[in-house]
Amino acid sequence: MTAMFAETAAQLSPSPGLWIVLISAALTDNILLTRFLGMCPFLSISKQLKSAFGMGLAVMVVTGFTCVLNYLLYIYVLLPLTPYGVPAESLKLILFIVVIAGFVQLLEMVIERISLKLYFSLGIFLPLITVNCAILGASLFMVNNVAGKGYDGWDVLVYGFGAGAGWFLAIMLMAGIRHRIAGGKVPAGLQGVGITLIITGIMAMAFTIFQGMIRT
Amino acid sequence: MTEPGKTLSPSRALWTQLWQENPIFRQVLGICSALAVTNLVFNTALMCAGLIWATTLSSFTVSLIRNYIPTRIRVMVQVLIISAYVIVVDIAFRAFFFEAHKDIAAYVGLIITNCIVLGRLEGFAMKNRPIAAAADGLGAGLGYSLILMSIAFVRELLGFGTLLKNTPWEVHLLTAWEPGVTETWWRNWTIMVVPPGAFFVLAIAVWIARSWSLRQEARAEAGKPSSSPGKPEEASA
Amino acid sequence: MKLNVNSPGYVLVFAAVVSTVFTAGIMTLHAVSESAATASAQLYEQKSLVDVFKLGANRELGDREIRDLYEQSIRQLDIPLVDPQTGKAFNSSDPNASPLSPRTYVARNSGGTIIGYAVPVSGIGFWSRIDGYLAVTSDFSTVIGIVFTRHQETPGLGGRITEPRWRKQFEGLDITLPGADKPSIYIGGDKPTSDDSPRHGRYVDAITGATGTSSAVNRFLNRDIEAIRRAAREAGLLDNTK
Repeated sequence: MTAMFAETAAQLSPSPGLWIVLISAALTDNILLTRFLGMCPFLSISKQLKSAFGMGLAVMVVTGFTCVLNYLLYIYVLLPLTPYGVPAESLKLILFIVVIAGFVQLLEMVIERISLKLYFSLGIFLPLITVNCAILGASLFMVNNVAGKGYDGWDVLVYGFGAGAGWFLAIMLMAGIRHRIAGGKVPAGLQGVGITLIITGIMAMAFTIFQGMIRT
Repeated sequence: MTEPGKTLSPSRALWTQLWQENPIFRQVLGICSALAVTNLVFNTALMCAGLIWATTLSSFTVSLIRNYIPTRIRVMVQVLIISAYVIVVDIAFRAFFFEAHKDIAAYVGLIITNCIVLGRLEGFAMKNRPIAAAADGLGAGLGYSLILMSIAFVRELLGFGTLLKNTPWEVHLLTAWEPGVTETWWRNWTIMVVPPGAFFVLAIAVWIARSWSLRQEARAEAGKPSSSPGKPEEASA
Repeated sequence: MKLNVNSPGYVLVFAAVVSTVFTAGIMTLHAVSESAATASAQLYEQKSLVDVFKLGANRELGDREIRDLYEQSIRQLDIPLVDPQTGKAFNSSDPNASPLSPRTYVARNSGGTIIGYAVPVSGIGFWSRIDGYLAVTSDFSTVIGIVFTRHQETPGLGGRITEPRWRKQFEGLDITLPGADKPSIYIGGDKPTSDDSPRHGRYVDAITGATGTSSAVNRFLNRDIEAIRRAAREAGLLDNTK
């Protein structure tokens, strides 16, 4: 199947430029506004700018590294084992989760050792993001992109960090907006989650503008 | 959330999950993955079936071996168990619902990290007996499905004008059966089939539910003997 | 003896057992469902081919009838079809090739005459890869129909490429090469106003609101049409109309 990937990549257009990968990952194909992933923490943590920053940064770092790790494992370990009866498609789910969980644990330990300050601004969010759908989703979409758009290793790197950056951007924007409208008049039924969803919808509409940036 | 340590009978657990603690209404948990598939009713139905299956059976399984799971690897084991059932669903869909599976494959996988499923395992299944845990999982799944199906109903109807599109039971309620040959007065609301539409519909659903439950709470307050006298009944809008 | 659930030894054993059970379970499941999954995929492919060759309307046909129609009229092409210029393969002749490799199909009527060929077309759409079959007459000059088997375009917008109404425009389209670096077909752009217009018989309306998908499909269809004609000439198919 690795050969099929190479074949696909060669037959379709050459792997898209890194800028396009970045723009589509962060803006047009935004993992939160277009793909609906990572909403739980997004809705609850976007209340304060400071925590939004910490969470967003954590998500970006973890998504970037785990995308690359998962890519390497998928291509060089899981796929070569397919002829031996190992169902790559089904097992990749669990493989990715294990990698993400492991990486997050590792990162938490490392940050705690290096800088307590960093730990308090970033590290405390780490346990929360092990099950953030966005991170697993990014890895799953990465596999789709490798098969469907011929992404290679560098593309995946940019894609991983780009997708995380897109999530980061979305949560920062939301925190800023919520900060601004705090104290505004919101109907009782819409307070909290309701109004945040409406704002998210409007942001999603706004982000579709970026589709014009990519000319196929 | 149910009080920890208190074991509930299966029927009470089911009922509590389904309405009073309906996750979507109260905490809007786990909407992530599933919102993307709500532009078509059939895809949503499949997704909900998968979720109900995964939540019920993994609650049951986790509860069954709850006393043997080491604390340290607790979350990983829970995730592994959920994955097993989700993979079963994925394989089943690929075999029997090939065309729909193409659209929803990525999101079926994401059931594994669905906050609701994990929430029920951690919050209930680890502390209760298998049958009760299964009922709790079933209730959570059903409550979740109720919301998603409602959203999908609205989105597909307004966005495509049909219901159960791409199935043998497709009905065209608003658009013509032969577009191009005959037309109806209806113009599809494309916003409903793209992501922003899902956010708006969900926001409205939350608004309705919250307003309703706030009104219930206010009524309950007014009914209590300790509430301030002379408080007028809330006029229904 | 009370079981210490948290002792390191136990944790290790537990983890090992759970992982083994899990992996074994998944592998068994896979082995068991493999045939059902392949059958489903196969039926889907057959449905698309029956549709693209206009052998019957999908809405009215049952699974049995689709299989029968396929068995009667459609076969995989038995010679390789490769574009000499780009090397793109439209049909591999290796009988053991993976199910993912490109396949061209030939449809024959009851008399044995070739109705046409269904050639795989693919390219990157607006979101991701789009795959489909283009059915052409035996002289590779006119389109019989087009079908899209895989895509990830926006439902309701780019996703409308699968709608019969949009695809119907392709029937009878002229795909001979006009030469001078002109495209064979036009999706979107100026509608031809007269019979003398160079776009006459080659034009298809784009999808409103789906400019990205429409131009992507335009691009890769034109590219593939050129490649297919080169490959057909190379394989000697353009000379015989039997």
